[in-house]
Amino acid sequence: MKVNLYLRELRKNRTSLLVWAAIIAGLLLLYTSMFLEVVALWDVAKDLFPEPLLLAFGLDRVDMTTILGFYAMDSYITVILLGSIYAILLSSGILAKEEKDKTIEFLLAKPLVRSSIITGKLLVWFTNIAVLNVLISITAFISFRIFAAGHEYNRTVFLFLLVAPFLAQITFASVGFLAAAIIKKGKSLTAICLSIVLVTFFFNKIAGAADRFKFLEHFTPFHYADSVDIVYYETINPGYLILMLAITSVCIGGAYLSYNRKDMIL
Amino acid sequence: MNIIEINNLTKYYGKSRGIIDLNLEVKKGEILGFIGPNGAGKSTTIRLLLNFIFPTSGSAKILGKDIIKHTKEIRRQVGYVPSEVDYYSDLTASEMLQYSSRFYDRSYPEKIADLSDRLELDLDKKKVESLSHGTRKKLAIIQALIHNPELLILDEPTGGLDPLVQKVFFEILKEEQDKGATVFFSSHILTEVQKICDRVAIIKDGTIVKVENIDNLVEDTFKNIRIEFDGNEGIDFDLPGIIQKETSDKIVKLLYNGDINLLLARLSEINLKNLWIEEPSLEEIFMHYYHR
Repeated sequence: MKVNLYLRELRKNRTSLLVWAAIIAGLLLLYTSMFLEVVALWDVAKDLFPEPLLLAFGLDRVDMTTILGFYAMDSYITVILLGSIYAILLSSGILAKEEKDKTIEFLLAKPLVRSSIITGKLLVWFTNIAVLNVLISITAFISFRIFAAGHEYNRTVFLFLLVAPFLAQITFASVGFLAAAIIKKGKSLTAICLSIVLVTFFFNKIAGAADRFKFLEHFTPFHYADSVDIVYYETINPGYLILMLAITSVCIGGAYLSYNRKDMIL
Repeated sequence: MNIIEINNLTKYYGKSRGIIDLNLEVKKGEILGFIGPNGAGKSTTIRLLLNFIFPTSGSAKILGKDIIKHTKEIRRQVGYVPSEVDYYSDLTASEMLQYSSRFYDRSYPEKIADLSDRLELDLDKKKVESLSHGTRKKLAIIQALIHNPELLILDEPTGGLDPLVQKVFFEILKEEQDKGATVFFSSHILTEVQKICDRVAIIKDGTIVKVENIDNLVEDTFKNIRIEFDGNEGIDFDLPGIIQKETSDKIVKLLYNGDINLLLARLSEINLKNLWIEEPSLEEIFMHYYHR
């Protein structure tokens, strides 16, 4: 009877999904609308940046005057960062909420095992994150047609730029889900989850800025799904792809194990 | 046949005690009162039975099934009323009941309508959030009953119910009992248990101190004795079976569960002005168990 739970949670989280989708898609549209202006200015503007800064942002490897290069530098960061925050708050929130609001007492008195609760909630966040990314992808596609009319781009690389943030968001969502399954009553869960996203986001920045911190790039999904790399190499790094899937599997497996043994203290 | 069988069930929360080596059997078709003060371990026992929490040691069976391994099958046959009702604040009462019944194999519109009517629950558009304590309790009672469970586990179910509704609730419980249901009724209000239960189990500091038929407990064993003396004889009452003794002026009050003949024989040697032999309230009997 997890269908019952799934449908109710979908309905309950619909507004929040639409709000996040509207914000991210809106920002995406705003950025891409500036594309032609940036193209016109870029030859002059890039000389204004000092060399190290260009390197730090990967501007030596990406051409800002192509629509994919431009997308990779601006909209992509918004999509992956805000999307990841949405993903981790959603996955951790829908699991922890039952304990925080003590409704778990109702749910656990119904004929379903805890694994069904986990599965139901998992499908809800997966669906929502997938829908979010579909909406973003459609917006991105349309925005290219409008604001970069006539500019050719590699469709496969574009597809990678749409799939990579989704994978990173799923990775974050799994980590948040595991945290919610472990932490009793979801104490400080929101703060923990937000920290995970923001800290790993800055890991990626720092790793790109200084060589001695380069090792940090291995610990952040923002690097696994780095847009500059995707545009430059025209692919998603297969090692990192596997790593994201592995983290996701381990976290979800861990969430099942932990939740099935958890004392629900009310 | 036993509907609930608890064997040496123990639960520690870290170092603090939940229950210790608790043993209890609940027979099919009975209403068992599970009585104890706050913090004695009543809710812990119930939460273990429903597998909200895991035992530190020991085991229990409901309907012959292990509470951990077969928790899903058990939950299908159990209706549970929590002591504090926390439901989804964004749902209305009727949405809540529909959501609840969809977890079972079929819906029960007639039963919902009938029970809401009898318990005077308005199934209007109000969100659970804005419902009073008592109204939430009614909601909890209905969702526990709609799937015709074989076992009802009630944790302080009458809190917030007004006396008239409480009376209806007890009638409903009796009807469920007549249909073959078993009721595990946890409470710290003793008089309400007296009205409805067949047996009581008294829990204190995490263990069962006494399981007794309610009739035995009230009628047979214990007597409240009040003796008024004529004159100033200082009476020394040291019979076996005197549980409590209070002396004031010329009146002695006893809680007595010894042989009534011995007492009468002793009293016949004394010049009495007046004598009362009464049924003690359950309250008095329980106070005795709690304080021992």
